[in-house]
Amino acid sequence: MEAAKRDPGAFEQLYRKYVAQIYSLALYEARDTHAAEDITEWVFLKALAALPRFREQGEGEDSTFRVWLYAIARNVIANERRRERRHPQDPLELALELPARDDPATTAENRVEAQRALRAVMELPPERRQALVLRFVNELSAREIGEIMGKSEGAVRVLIHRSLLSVRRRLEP
Amino acid sequence: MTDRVETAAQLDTAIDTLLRGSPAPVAPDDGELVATARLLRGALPRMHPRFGFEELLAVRLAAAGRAAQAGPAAAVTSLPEPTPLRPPADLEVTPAHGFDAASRRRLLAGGAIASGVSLALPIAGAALVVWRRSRSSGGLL
Repeated sequence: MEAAKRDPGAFEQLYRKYVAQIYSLALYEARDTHAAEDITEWVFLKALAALPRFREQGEGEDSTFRVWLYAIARNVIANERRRERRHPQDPLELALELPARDDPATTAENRVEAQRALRAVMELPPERRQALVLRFVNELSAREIGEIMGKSEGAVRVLIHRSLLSVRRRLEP
Repeated sequence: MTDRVETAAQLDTAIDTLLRGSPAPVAPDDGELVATARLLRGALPRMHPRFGFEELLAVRLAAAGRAAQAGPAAAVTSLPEPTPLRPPADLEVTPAHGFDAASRRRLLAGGAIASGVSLALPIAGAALVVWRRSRSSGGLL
């Protein structure tokens, strides 16, 4: 981290480490690969520009950089949402496609169930959807999600609990 | 209230176990929610951007870093907003499904959630302009 501050060239290591995580969050939010790429680009350029002001408050696994980066991502996504509201485009046609898994143990039935679950998540209100994506896709802890979303760890746990309840209800026949 | 908090904490522990890849998480009272969590674990893959995009952005960031080091004199601050660049055609590749060893997660390249709407993102700043200028004058840096 400190190396990246002194030498912006060292920022590439951080970029490589986190690009898939940020892209994933952007893709689940934007539901469009080009929009996700644009958001990802914006997030890393903002992070690079703001890096001199970042203050590390942890070490190793406890590094606060990841939380800081996700907070930037969340802001960029929120800005994009606001921009879309100001300049509405064609209604989003939710086209969810999970690629067929290579895993032979993944049966067609499993894939259908996974598709339904994915669709149920995407239909959740933004805050609930984002909490589940951060937890299950990005594998952040409730504490980290709380720092990103400005909530307590306990509040995030309750939010995830409620979100899972919502998903389960949507999956009921 | 306390019950809800405790139930949520139990569920969180079960999710932790699931995310570590354990096949038999400690089940809280509500086993159905754990089953839903297990389903989401498989239904929400981590996506990986296209190789071409990732490499192009790495180049942009390197250029932005160099511009930042060179100081404000090297930066151009007022140019019209260009439309977002897409990776050149010769960088368009579709890698096979990968695996993120660090997080034990399957990665899906290129993304799989699609819609017909593309966002237009404003220019990132002077450094990006520097990169675009260098690109137009002599290829990829």
